[in-house]
Amino acid sequence: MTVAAKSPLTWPGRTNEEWQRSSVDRFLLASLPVAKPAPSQPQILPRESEFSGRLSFIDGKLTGVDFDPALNKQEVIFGTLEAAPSVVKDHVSRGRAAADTLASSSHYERIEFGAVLSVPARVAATAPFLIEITENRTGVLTTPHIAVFLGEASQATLVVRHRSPSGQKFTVDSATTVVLGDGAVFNLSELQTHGNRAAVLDHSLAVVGRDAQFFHWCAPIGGAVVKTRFDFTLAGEGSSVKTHGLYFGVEDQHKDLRISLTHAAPHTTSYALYKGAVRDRARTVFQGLIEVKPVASQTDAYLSNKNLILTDGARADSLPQLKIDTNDVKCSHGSTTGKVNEEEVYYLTTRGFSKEEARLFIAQGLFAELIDEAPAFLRDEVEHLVACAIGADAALGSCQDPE
Amino acid sequence: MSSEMIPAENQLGDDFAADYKFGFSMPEKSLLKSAKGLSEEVVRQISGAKNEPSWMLAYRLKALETFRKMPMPSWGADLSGIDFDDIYYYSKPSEESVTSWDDVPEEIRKTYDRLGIPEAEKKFLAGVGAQYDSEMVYHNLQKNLTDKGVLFSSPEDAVANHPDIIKKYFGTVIPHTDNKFAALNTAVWSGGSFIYVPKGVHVDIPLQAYFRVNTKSFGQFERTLIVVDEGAFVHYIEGCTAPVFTKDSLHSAVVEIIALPGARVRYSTIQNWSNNMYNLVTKRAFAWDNATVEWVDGNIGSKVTMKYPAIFLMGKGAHGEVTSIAFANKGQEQDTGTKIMHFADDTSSVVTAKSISKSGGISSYRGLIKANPGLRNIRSKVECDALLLTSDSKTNTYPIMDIQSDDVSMEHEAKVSKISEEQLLYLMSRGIGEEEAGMMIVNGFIDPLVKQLPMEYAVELNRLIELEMEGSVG
Repeated sequence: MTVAAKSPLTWPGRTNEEWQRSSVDRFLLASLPVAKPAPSQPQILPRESEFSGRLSFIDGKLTGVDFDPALNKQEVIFGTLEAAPSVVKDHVSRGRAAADTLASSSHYERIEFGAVLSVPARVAATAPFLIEITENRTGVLTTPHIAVFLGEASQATLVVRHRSPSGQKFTVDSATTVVLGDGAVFNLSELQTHGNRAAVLDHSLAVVGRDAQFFHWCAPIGGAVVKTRFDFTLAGEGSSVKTHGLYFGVEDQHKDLRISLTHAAPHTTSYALYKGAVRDRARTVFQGLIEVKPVASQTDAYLSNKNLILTDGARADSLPQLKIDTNDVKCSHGSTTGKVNEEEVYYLTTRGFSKEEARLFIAQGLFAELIDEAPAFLRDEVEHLVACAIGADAALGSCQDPE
Repeated sequence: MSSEMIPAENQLGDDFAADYKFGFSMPEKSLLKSAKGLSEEVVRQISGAKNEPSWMLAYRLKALETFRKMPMPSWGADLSGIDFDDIYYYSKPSEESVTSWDDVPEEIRKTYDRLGIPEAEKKFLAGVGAQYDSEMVYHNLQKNLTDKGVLFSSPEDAVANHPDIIKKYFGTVIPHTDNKFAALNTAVWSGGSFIYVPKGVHVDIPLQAYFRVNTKSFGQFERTLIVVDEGAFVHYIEGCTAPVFTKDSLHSAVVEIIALPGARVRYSTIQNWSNNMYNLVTKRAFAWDNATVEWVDGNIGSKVTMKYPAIFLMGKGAHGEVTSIAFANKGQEQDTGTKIMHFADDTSSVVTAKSISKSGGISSYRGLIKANPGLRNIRSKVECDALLLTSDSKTNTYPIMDIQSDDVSMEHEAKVSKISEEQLLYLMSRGIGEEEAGMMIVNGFIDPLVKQLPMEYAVELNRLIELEMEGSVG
């Protein structure tokens, strides 16, 4: 096979299908000053046995570390990018190779800081790892990177939190890269609660090996403008990916989420469930592609996207896509967009709830199956975030971000 | 001037010609043929040949400008094989359109006799039009319909005799600025059908037009305008074939339908162009208050088809339905789909799209469902099913749901599968041969579309699919 020389990457314009509904200009990638990595003097956090390890970053600096010594002894690596240069180098080159525009390559050209989780073959870390990235700076471009490598038949769970206070105007251009060895089992949960003026760009990818399993959950809640992309490649025979997402558009938020599931080996399975709700003047876009390569016979793929329009004038675009290049497959997708079922609302009003309350309860109920997939220690918080986003808790005054 | 038929197989060494029943061609005997390529002169020549009023010529010339300015579509099928300078834009086969079959020139009549048109008319249809290259050569309508004021003619005839209707509706549903191929059609259009059904008139049996291309390197640009007045009904059927030539041909039609309040229009077409035809068609309907528009669309032939019948639901209570089937065999790309725009309250739409791909054929579904803000009670349901017969078949599904109103119920579903081993095994255990069992399953798959067609078309479609299916199972 001859590979054509890659032409130089350009910024994506409106003719680029992926960027048709979001303008790259809003991320100020070319104009904002790039944040400089700061020297870290991390504090050793008290050992918490419910976690395998914890890393806290504030404004690009590592500020807190906690790591199970037993796992350290088993040669698990959990630390900053410098802790495993060979893993990071490999991941960065994968990210660069996958980039198709300057918007997807820019992160890899100027990684500011980040974390690595590397688990050797046949090591199982049962408790979750936690990475917390907090940003207080304003007027900067920050580019955190997280690289995960799981060796053959290893197991790990990682929870990543991105957050910033309300009112700070800055851009985060992040990426998470995941490479899973044969038979590895990995569980990744991402909770993003940036402030209301943040611009959030993310280009993540995962390569899943033979018989490996990847469970993914994400909740991009915050940000003024959000554009994320997660490319899952089912590279090994028998590999599987399960990905869940819940997202909201409130006030003037603009959220454009894209996932692609590429089946590149036989007997691979993927399942994707994404639910969103919009209100006010917000707009959400969900793009979900299932691609089946000619070699991927016996593929079983399903993708579902459900959108709830809470108030008139809010907008939800749904673009599920299938690109199938062989016939021995079972692939389907479904998409629904609508409002809360009026019959259900009526039922609840007969039980003494107001119409408004009834609508909010039903809307909350729709997200229950996704809240259940969140890491146990985050479930209450996610439930509260959902209630705020759909307007249920707003009346209680408990949803205001601290200014 | 021999009237001997040239078997298509001799013209083309390619094996796909052999199965194409309509692959014969008659020797070309055009009365008037424009020079190859597109120029202002060609447009003036076409307009002059039709003795058109100056306003139509002016409109054509404006469209030609638009065509030159507009870029080729950057998405969809590969259109790089089209050379606009290597196409004949106009070919007039006979003196004028006639209303008695016996008056159709002998060779043209022979073509249609072979395609079975006159029998079809006698048995099943209220009216028939037949277009050969650029011009309608035959148009007939049952007398009781003529008496009721139903008009069924070539659009040229309508320009001359009903300029009021043409001026009011022509180019209003699909303006020449819509896309490059709509601009091209508007500049060089020739032939097609014009239908007007007056208020409250119910045309019980279908009207039909048949399109045939006979000239090599030819572009057929028919223009169809259907206006159905308040409370009226019509079912219009269209069929298309062409001989298999060694050079690619282009078919770029524009079809505009206006369903006025309370009207119902059904438009059925089975496209079976030869496998070297670029079929790039713009079809769109406006449905006003409580009107219903139904597209029934079969795409079996052509090399490349890009066709997305659209319904704009303009009035309160309007309803739109699209039922389509595409079969992409070796070397074919069927890029089809639907666009439904909900512009009014209480509007509903149903889309059922089925495709079958075989031996490297590519079938794609592109769809758009849009609901504007502030609308109440919008319902839409889209179902796309793709069947893949061989391991090298390809299918793509690219739907877009753009919903901006909160009082909407929108559902989309798509499935891709092959003929299931279990179903095959079951049928074979009942003593049915593998090939026949496969055929039965495919017939079941396309059944929702077939059911929408008049019986004789359903039979024809089943037969065409059977032909395409040969040797694909087992």
